[in-house]
Amino acid sequence: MRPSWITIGMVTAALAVHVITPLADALRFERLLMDDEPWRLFACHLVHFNTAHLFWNCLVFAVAGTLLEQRSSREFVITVGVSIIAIGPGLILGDPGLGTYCGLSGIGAACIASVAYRGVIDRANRTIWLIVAFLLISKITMEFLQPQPLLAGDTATFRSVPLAHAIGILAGVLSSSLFRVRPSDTDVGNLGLDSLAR
Amino acid sequence: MHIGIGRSDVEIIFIDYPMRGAFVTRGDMKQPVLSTVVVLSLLGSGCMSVHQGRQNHQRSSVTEFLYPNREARTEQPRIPHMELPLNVGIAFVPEKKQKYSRGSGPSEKRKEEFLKKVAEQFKDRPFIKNIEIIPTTYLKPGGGFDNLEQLRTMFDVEVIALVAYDQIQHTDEDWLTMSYLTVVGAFLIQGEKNDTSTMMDTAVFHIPSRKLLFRAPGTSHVKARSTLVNHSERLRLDSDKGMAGANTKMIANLDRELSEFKMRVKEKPDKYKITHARGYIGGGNFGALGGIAIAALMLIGGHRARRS
Repeated sequence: MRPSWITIGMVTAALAVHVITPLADALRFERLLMDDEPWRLFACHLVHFNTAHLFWNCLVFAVAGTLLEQRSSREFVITVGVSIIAIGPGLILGDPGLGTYCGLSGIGAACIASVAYRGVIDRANRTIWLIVAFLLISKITMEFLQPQPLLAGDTATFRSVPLAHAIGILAGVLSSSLFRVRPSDTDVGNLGLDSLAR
Repeated sequence: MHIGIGRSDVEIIFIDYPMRGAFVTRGDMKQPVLSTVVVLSLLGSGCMSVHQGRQNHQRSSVTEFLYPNREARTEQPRIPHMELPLNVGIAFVPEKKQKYSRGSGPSEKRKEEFLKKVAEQFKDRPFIKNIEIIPTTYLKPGGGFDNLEQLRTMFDVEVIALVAYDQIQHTDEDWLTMSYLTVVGAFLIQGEKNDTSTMMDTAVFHIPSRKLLFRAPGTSHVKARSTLVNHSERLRLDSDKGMAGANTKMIANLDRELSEFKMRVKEKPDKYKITHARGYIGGGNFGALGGIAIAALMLIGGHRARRS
């Protein structure tokens, strides 16, 4: 199994941004500053509010990102790219009350959705991927229904933003279905996911 | 006989008087001839007199609204503290009645249309929460900052954009006005040359600190000709056209001034205090339970797939 360099790089970047506070301040999504500092729309995913926020988001992203990147680096890059492009502007348009946002979970949701979608479509270990998909969709639905997150108990200082996860899921499913790689295109398939793609 | 349709009162009296003089004569044959000569000569001198031109002046003034008294009292501005996004009001300041002015400036409806155009341009800015269009009737002539404080309470606005204008219309006649002697000429020949110069100016004030944040003017110049008969109508149209032109230029200048103001705020944080009332704080978050559950399931799925 080869290392998933892009996933490792993104997690490392998130850790670095968390340590370097001025950098975090410069990258966080701040609606009122978007006109003058548009990079915040796309870089905010690397910023986290606290260590617990950073840890759990990085954990999920590391697992989902590794699975996807092992399947295909190209598909991973497309999924992450599409979700980065979609989430920031989507939050600007879809959640006018949101002033500040950050977190890697939107991109993480895109990676989970991409892997789970492929698992369900290709009918290999379908039950597991259906449970993953069900869990993810249930979490987002509950977050839409009640502002306090269902599966997060450490968010006293901020509210969960289900729209970011919903956009991430859409981005993941779209990327996975539109840019589906054939088995011959896969880089390694060390986790056996190449067999899912067949 | 009144042929001075649409002309100033001076001209109506001037033309009216010799006509009456022409018909009070009777009996003597020399009298009508003499009267005709007098009429023509007076009409001739009338034509000379109209060449001096006329002017119509409409204006309103932010200074006269804010500082109505002549004594040298000045407001001491403080450092403005603005919490973004802002509620902004926009209003035309009341006009000062001009002594010899025939017009009364744009109607309230037209003013609202001008203000709406400004509001449309700026309402989507992230630092603006809402733009409230305030009718002029809520502003007292010479109301000053006390009046602005009332508006602040009534409309819940921290910042107000006060719009004032200054419009001068000059009318001159050229040699074509000689055709008015034929009466038909007054209906057909465009002997009136109209010049309309307009300046519209917006001054944006922070009400609690009484500080002028920035201002932006817009100007326009309209030239047109008209017949004697439709002279008043033409002046009204030119007035409106001038206002619309100045309004459009003012909006462009406001945009530029706003950008420069934002730079000033950044460069001189000691002169302007800005805080962000920034909606709710949200984060993309899986949390502990969600993180463990999803990660574990994905690892199992990946492991199973690998084994198969």
